[in-house]
Amino acid sequence: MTKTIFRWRTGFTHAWRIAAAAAVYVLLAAPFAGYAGTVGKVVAIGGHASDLALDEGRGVVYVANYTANRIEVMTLDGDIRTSINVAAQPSSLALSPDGRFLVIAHFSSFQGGSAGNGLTIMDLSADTRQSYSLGAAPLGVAFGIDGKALVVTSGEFLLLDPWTGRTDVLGTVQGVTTRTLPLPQGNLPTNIVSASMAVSGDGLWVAGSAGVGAGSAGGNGQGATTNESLEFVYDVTTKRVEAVKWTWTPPPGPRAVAMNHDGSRHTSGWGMYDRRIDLALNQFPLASGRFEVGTHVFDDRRGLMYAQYEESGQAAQPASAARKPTLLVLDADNLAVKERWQLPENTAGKSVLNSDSSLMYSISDSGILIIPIGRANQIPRVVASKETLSFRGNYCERRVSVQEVTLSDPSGANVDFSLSTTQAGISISPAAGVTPATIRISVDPTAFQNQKGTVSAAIDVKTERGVNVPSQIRVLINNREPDQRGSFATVAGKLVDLVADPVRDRFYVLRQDTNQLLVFDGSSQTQIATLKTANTPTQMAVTFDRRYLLVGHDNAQVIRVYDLETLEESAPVRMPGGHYPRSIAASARGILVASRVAGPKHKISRVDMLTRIATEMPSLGVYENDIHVDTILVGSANGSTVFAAQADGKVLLYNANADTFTISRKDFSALSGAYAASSFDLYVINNTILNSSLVPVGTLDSSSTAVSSGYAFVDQYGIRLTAASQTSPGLIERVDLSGGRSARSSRVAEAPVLPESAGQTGSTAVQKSWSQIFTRTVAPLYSRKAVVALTQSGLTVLPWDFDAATAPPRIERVVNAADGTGPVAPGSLISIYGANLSPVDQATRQTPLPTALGESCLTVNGVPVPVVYVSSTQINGQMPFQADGNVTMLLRTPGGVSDNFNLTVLPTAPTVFRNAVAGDQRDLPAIYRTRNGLVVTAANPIHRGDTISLFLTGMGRTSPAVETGAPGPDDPMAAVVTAPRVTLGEAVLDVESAGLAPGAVGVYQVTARVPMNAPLGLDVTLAISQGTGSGASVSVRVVD
Amino acid sequence: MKAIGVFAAAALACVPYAAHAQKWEVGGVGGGSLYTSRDATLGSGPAVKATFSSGYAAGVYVGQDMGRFWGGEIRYTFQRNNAELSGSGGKASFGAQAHSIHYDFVLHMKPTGNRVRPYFSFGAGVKQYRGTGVERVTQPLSDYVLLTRTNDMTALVTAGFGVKMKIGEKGILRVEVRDYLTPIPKKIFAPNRGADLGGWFHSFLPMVGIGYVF
Repeated sequence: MTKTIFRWRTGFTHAWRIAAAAAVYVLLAAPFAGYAGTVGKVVAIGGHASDLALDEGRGVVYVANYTANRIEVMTLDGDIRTSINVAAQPSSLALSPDGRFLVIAHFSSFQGGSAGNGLTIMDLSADTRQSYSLGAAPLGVAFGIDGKALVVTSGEFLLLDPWTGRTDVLGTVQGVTTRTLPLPQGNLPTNIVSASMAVSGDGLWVAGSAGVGAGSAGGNGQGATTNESLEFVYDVTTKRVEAVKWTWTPPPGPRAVAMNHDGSRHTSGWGMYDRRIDLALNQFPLASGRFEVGTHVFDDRRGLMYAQYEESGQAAQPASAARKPTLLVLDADNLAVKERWQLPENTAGKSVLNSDSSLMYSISDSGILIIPIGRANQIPRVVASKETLSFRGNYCERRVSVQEVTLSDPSGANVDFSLSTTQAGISISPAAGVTPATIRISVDPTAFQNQKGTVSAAIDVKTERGVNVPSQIRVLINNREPDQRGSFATVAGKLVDLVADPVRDRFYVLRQDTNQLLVFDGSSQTQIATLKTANTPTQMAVTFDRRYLLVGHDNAQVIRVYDLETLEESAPVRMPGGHYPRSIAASARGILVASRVAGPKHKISRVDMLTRIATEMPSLGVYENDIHVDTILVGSANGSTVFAAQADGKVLLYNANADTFTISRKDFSALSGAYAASSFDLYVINNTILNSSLVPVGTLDSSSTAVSSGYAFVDQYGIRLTAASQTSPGLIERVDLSGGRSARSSRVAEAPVLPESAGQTGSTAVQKSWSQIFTRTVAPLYSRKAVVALTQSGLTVLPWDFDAATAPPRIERVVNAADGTGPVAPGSLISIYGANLSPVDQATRQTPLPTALGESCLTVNGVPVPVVYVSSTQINGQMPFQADGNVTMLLRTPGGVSDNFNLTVLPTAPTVFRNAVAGDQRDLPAIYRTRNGLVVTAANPIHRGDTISLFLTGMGRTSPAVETGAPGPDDPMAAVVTAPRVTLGEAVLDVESAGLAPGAVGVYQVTARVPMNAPLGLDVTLAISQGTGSGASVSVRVVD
Repeated sequence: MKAIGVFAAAALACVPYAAHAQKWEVGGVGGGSLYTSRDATLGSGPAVKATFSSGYAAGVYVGQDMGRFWGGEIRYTFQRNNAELSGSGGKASFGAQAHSIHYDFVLHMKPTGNRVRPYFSFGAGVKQYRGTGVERVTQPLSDYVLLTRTNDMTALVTAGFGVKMKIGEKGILRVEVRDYLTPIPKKIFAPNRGADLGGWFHSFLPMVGIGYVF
């Protein structure tokens, strides 16, 4: 977008009063049940609606019927009781804050005269009306909190006092042109009037948009649109109007403006802006710019925005089409899509919410669409409990694997659904039904036995009655071989960048589909924070002082900044108008940004972190500041240089000492793939090594099928990640830079994220606005304990010495995990101690527990053991329920197979967990008093009459039986087959329940009541036993 | 509380035998409640003071004159003081209260009929301590003493002095100080393993009361 700015100021000050409108009505369910599977009630008005105003005090909505010359008076639940005949072409209307005046603008610019242009002021209390002629066509009208209406015409900004009918000119409007009637058929009011206005919730701000130019440059084939607009904001307090002229590509549709409560943000067309109006905070991705389809409105109460807009490549969607119009429920902060609701017909302009944000009134194809947004929890929907299912076949387990996913309706209703997939080898049962339902997804590993990487399949979820568009369930299937290195950490969504913190044991991942920055702990690889980005994050950079992380975006003209000490958002960096900061790199001298620019040339800018403003560089040294739209920047670790690679084959080098670009070359016809810059004046792009003059000096070893994905410099060697295809294993190599030769290479469990070709079409058949031409998918961690890779199913963690020779594992001891003693039983949580048990340290929160973790898998008599934690010396897992008597345990790692380890599994071996913590006291028995929910200690003793809960493992089989690795069910609880006996001294406790703790794997919970004759003392023995087997005892304090 | 009730019934049963044809007095008292402290020790480490914080007391009594100088009264007293530990760099506090019932003999320095009658009193009874604080998983100085939410019944010896002043024909204003002496309630102040805590608590109650003579 380009802009020219002109401003007007006036000195008027006014006081005003606000009238609170009462919203007293009852919502009926039936009126809003539009067509099957849609939400919203359509109210046809027999004409074309051009504007609406909500009058909750009178319980009505006024709808301007532009073509029928009426104001329809509609009840809040959608009945049109009366219609008020008015002058020709009512195009805009506004209700005064006190509800007394309804001002109607008439846009009636017919050829041969404009006599019809004017205003009607209706005094709703006195039931009178007055009409005024205007010399120019009125584009819109909106009331501020001061009780005066801003009237925008094609020539002026006017301030109207409805009591007197007097208008004061606030300023003149330049460049706005209006349509001359009559127009060709097929034009709607959004195209004819070419303007829209909205008021902030507090009434202190008015935002608006008006078409500028000849109106023939539309890009949507309607012949009635313009790529230029006048965007204006009116400050009610100071009576000042600020206006900016924008040039848009595509045109600024939908023709709607919305403003949040305090007026700090507003949306216009497909953009979201702050009050300064020349800063685009976010944009609706892939918008086609069509004017007469769509709407948007803020829901400040819920932090949401509701919007419809047409995406590029989509045709207009009539209500009868198979694909229904969709209302997006968005995060108002960054326009991340949270839900999609199907509408009975397209919205077509302005929307407003009622005072309690329970109803949304939108101009639509038929007239008005009423959407009960406040009753979202009562709208029938189908929601899956998981967005990704990971099937990790391994060399310990080649059986058909089953996982469950729950489909439910948040409203609790029974909503139909059907599931389908085109991927062979995946079974779904049941494939159709009604919510709530538990679906079993089965994967036959034999169908994927030739796929050694990860196959990503999708299960489509459809519903007829449900109004939402359910998300697909992604199914990831991997059958790795023992030599394929790395452990998985499934991360859902489209991941586009990976950066290791240069001074902290953390790493950062950009999730583009939900506009999120994910922060992971480097030692455990667990996610420790989720931070919002602006729309469509593309790349990250850490500032040279290591304090901030910067995130660039493709649909926002800001760089989001995050404080790495606090992991909180800091003030953003403002880009020049029309600059979308796709790539960022930091050097010791400055921070550079490569931007897609809404203009003829794409640019590199420099960031001033003090003012948080980016400024376009006049030139790149002796070179013109004109870069390819797909340009990637990366800084060397020592801050001396910033390397730029462009998809058209050009490369650039910024030298921090010279503070300018010193080199530009074009030795390639095209570039893509991995990129990196070293502290030793070497650079890598795709498979080529460049020297300090960016002259190609070597080619990295690669087979003809290997696709470059990631490269990272470590000291004076490099780590390179490639793959033949998305479904093949990855290949990680340690590269000796002296000759560009791979020193050692290893296969990786799955392929890394691979570069896309420019303009690659996505699975949704929607044209992509940003393609991942360049990829950064490997990150050696600061701790030098692991290398993290961005791979097909999220992250793959490799040991730092992934290419070192590995010794075979050795099991030395198997104990129960509760207290580290010997006895174990079926279903016990166990700890295995030994050497070389796993090349990496890794824990998982996945349930059911995986049967392989961190490249290790364990079996007992051939049955896979679900594991929760692996390290070189310890593995924690669950003894299979099938295990009994004398059994043999085997461990498989990349180093080989362990010797047989023989052990005896008792029917029961109850052991109380020693993992409770109280202040600095650790390893306390996990016994809790029900009365206060606190762990039993000497300071919180058991009282006679108390009910206590004990948490144990080793209580054996249950009824109903639970799969090994699965959490205990909630209702009914899985009760132990062999009842326990709990005593305090000689006193026997009344056991109220004993079974698997709901939601926990291998953890049992016993609830018992302490008798009044329990012995008292500081050290009373609490014992638990089952059947004739051994028991466990702990010492507790008991008082009266 | 059951033990208190038994004791109160026994004490009241004694009254008629000692109260033949004498004047009766009923009234209420209120004032402060102060405790002495005792040291809790743990091996050769520094001692920790165990006590009750300063608080308040209130009570009711029924008394009678048994001659020109001697009298007797049965009394119920409520005390509100937090159990406290301090020392060794730490401090712990735990809500507590006490209920006492005792019978005292009263020796007046002036015979019946004087408007001002100084007196001494001594007696015995029972005192129930109640730990009422909120239990938490940790407590400062718990290596020494565990402050516990429970009840502890102890023997009670009382002694005191004061003065009664007639107000009109039937009214009595009294000002007095009493010492309530009990063994340390070791259920409330429970010594932890290896710790030692013993002796008696003095509880001094400076109080003002109003009575009615009939």
